[in-house]
Amino acid sequence: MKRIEISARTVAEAVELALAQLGRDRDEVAIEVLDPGENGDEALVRVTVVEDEEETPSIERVSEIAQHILEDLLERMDIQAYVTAVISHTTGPQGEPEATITLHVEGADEEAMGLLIGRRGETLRSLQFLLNLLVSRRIQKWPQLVVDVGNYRQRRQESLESLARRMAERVRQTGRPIMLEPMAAYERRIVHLALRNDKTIYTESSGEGENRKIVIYPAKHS
Amino acid sequence: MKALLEYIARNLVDTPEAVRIKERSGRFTVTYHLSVAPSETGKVIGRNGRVAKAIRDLMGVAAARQKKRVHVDIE
Repeated sequence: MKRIEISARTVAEAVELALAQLGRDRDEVAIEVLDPGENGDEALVRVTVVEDEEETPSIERVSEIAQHILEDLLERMDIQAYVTAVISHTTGPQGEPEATITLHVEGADEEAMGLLIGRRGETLRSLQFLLNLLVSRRIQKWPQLVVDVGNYRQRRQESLESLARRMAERVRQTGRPIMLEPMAAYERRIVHLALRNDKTIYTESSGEGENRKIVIYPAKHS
Repeated sequence: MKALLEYIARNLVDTPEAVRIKERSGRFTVTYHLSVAPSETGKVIGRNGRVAKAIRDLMGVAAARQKKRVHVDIE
């Protein structure tokens, strides 16, 4: 964050000096008058560049903001739960380092946790989307936060992977394609990835929007 | 429930002071009428109504906690 303090004979003069030094216009800064410079004293102002504030907050800071907002939301939903933020460092597709923030929500009230997840995880997706949106308004970019409730995401991933393998086995045995239930994009991704290395079958998505689903086909004979 | 809607709406717009929420309580259903500054309606509705859907989903949770159903109108 860019911020300078400058004193001059008058407030107006100090502000002008500060703006010149920062190379900014008046509407890009916040001005605090620390000393108005009356009675022959020098005026002292603090000028802060507003758009630079939190422009690139650290991942720890983003995680703090996200945890706070999620706790605010849960409290207002009348749900008692603990939120733990975990920052994991992985490597992206080009080998570049990537950091992901996952917010784990845990609570003793199973019914409340079930409500948060919703049918097929739909409410959890809404919660995650809204949290990303609220945090993005604070940090001026999309934070890619993941929200999990009671390990739902991991359990869902495991069950999708085993479903994928069972269906692939059936396609292999019958030689006929199988169409799976409609799934959200990231769930389809889990299935595609689970079967990526299986050369006896291949997978494709078909259909539009809400109805998009995976079809597993037997491998073409060459 | 109202506190949740208020929190979300106020934090999604640039003019939180323009957020207005009217509440109408029935026996089983509570209806909220949310309005924001006219130029900012898009921020609480979102592309394809995605934000509005997320707001309604979370309001549904808050309502279910009180054994009620909720309806959120956005103007």
